Amino acid sequence: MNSKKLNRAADLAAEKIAGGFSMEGTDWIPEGATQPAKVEAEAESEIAPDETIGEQIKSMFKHNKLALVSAILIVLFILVTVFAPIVAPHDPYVQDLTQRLQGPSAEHLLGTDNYGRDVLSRMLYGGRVSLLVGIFPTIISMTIGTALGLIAGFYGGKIDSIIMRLADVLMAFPSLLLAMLISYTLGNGLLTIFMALSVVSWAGTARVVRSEVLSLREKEYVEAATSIGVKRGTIIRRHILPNCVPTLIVLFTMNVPGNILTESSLSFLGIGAQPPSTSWGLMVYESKQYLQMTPVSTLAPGITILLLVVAFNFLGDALRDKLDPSLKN
Amino acid sequence: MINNDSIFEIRGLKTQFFTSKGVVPAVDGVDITVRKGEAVGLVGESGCGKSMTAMSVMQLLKKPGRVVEGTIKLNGEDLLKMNKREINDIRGNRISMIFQEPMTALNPVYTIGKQAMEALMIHQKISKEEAKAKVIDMFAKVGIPEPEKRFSVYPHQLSGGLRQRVMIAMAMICNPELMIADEPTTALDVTIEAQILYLMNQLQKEVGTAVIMITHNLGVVAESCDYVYVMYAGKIMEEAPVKELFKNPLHPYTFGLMNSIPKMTEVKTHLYTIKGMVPNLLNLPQGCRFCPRCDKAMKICTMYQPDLYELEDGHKVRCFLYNKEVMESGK
Amino acid sequence: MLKYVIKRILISIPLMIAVVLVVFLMLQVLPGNPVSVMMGEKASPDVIERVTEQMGLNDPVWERFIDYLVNAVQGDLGTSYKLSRPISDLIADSFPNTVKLAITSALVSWIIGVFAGIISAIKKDTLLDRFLMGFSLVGISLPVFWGAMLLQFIFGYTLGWLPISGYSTPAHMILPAVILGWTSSGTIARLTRSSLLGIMENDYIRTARAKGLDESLVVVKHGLKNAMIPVVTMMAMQFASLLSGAVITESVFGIGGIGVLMVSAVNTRDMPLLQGSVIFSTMIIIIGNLVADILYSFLDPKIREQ
Repeated sequence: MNSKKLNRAADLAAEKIAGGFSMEGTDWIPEGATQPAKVEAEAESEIAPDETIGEQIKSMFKHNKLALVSAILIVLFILVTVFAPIVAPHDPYVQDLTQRLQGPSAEHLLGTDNYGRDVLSRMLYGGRVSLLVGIFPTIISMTIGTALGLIAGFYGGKIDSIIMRLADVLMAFPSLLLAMLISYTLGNGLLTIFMALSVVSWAGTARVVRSEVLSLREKEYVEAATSIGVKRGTIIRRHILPNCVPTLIVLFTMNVPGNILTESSLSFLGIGAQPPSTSWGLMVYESKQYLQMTPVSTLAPGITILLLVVAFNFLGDALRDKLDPSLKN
Repeated sequence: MINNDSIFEIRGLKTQFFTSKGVVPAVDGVDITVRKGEAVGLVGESGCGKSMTAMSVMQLLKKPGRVVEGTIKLNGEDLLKMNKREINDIRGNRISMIFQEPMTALNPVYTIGKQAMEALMIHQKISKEEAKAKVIDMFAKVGIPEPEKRFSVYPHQLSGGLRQRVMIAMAMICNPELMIADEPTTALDVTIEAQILYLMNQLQKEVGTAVIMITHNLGVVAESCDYVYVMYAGKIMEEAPVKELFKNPLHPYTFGLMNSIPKMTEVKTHLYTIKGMVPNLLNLPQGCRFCPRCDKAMKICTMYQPDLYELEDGHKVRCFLYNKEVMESGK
Repeated sequence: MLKYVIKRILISIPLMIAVVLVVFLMLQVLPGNPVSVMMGEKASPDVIERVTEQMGLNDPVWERFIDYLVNAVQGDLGTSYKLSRPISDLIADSFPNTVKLAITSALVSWIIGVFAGIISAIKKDTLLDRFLMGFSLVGISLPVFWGAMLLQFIFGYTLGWLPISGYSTPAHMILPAVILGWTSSGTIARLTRSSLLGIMENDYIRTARAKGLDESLVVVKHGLKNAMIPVVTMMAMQFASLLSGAVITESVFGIGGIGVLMVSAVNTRDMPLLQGSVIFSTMIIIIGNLVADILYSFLDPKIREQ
């Protein structure tokens, strides 16, 4: 993937040489003189910003097979967990103590757990929790973060400092600590994780969106819109928000794996999903003492988390490089 | 032409960029000769390949750019045949370079003194103290006020003009035989530009360093050069001693360049502009490269590329208008 | 510079107070009487009332908060409800273990991260680059508890080379440091790589090459010194987060540090202990970020020389 990127950058550099600019002193060419910028538009179409996001993503998948494989893997994960009731070979909750801790077999592809439950089926159902907690709190927290970031960046002044100081305060809490605090009052369970990951972790998004808005606000077309009296709400909706979309897509893809990991960690600690319901983190916890007896069923949930998170990270990297390289650091 | 005192010769240099869209001939068969202590101007619009010529000399080309043909000889030694080590011995020592952007060409985390000492320390076996003394000396020479104090100052604490003086000091510190200045004054104010050009002229005369001045500004050439090459789309279009070129520009392109400079003595409602734009090097015209923009273009210009014709007075021009056979055959 | 440092420190103080307030409010004001939450559903109303009175929980919230803050500044974080020991003592007991783990895993993380990042940048787009970046990405994506378990199984249980849990000898620290270090190294490696690659595009790198410097000198002297500025900042922040308690790693390896203290406070519903240890952790993170900021301004001459 990287060699492709290099080539594109190199092409761009070469096109600058080849495409030719005007004399550096264009400023003293009077009106009516030719505007040379347009010549390059064609040559640079590969990186031209007027490509729609859909087209950019499409071309990313075309050039970056790793991102494509990752995306396919993620979709596959989502499909099998959504359709778990159809796909799962067994009922994930039915215990069969005669079938405890079985190794992989045709009947139980990934073996059985301590209660004789089918590990594969439990993983399919557990994956629902992981993906649910990975995706939905991200959407909620990013919606809050985007709204607050837009307001802070666009209105500035007191509102801005209040929102940003609040963000500073929340940024001081690692999500694990926050979840532990919340679990104290709300008790253990998925609700706690949802709260910790959605209500409180908007700060990062708000910061990024705010800085995006600050730079967009200086752009000519926004200034022009302001000067002709377009309403603030309309400017945000029409001019600012659409320009934040690529950044938000990238942030989303990069936030999801973090949340999946946090959920699995919390469930591993006993704060997240509660038995008999399950999640991959909890499965690792429940089966860890049987590692030497049934390595496959113990390792499988962990490997699955790893795979899913790696896939999201690859996709996030690729999207970032394509849509918003400024997020790199 | 007196050839025996030439110290630097580029012959048939071809530098190309190998992109996925095709091969870009950024420099396409360029010959340049520099005599000892001479200041040579290389003029052209950006994208004409003048900077790439300099980068080829310094071997600082970035991928996918590569010199594919030609020789670059410093006192008879071909730089293109040297290994990395030998090139490093030449760079900054016998050939030095000044870049356009003084604001970014200096490393922000080292003091200017330290950066100026660096070239001395690697090319000459002298102690730190000696090097420091030399640097302070050179700083004074290039007109940096309070050189001892400025020695331990960081680049961001200096103005653009002072930074460019630092760059010149760095470039001159090893008394190079040749200094390549790539648009050294473009980023500066006009008043500072004049000061810097004056400084460079003085140093050049004093030390005897030859200079290749790369610029898009004919004014800079007029002020600081002895001989000038006009480059367009990777090729030299015209070359002549500076006075001759300004007195008697032959190539329609040179003509256009000169006419597009506003003159104090004339009142004009419109400035002359060269019509059209620099051609895409991936898609060059079959004939003369300037043909699509030339108001004197003939039929032959669209079909064949002219050679660089030498006229009696040493003036050379790449244009069919100066080829007797072509002109007599009636276009 | 000094002015900047002082200003930066002054800004952190209200932030710290605000963080304490958030913790305080979350534990004491959110729905339900904290005492009944703490004592469980079986406690009789009388007992709850008595304990509430005892703990001064009938006073107005802001009064309690001010009291808590004043005490906390003096090092008094209250008394553990379940262990009947001053919380500051409990923290003092467990913090050294967290420090040990933080130092060892930070070393692993920094050494792997910086080297992998530099090599990747120099060998950009080679197989080695891809391997190192893949290794880093897996590190970032690895569920720590699972990786830890795997290491325990392989090196402790199967091979018997290293102890599985505890914190009495240096050998005990190896597995936790390796897993925590690896998962933290990915961020450092990626940042080092992208920072160095970005720096190498700068004009002053070209200037250095034009001086006749050997390429390796160009990278080390002119590239790395600039590229490390954000990396060092990241290292400081990472170290702070390691010092604030590696909840999972400590739990899996049975290291009695701040992380385990917090988990046990949650599990035993020991509100004062949870409050105290979480506040301690977040203070470390805030101070760490403060140090990182100051470090950054110190490393960047543009800010330092003002």
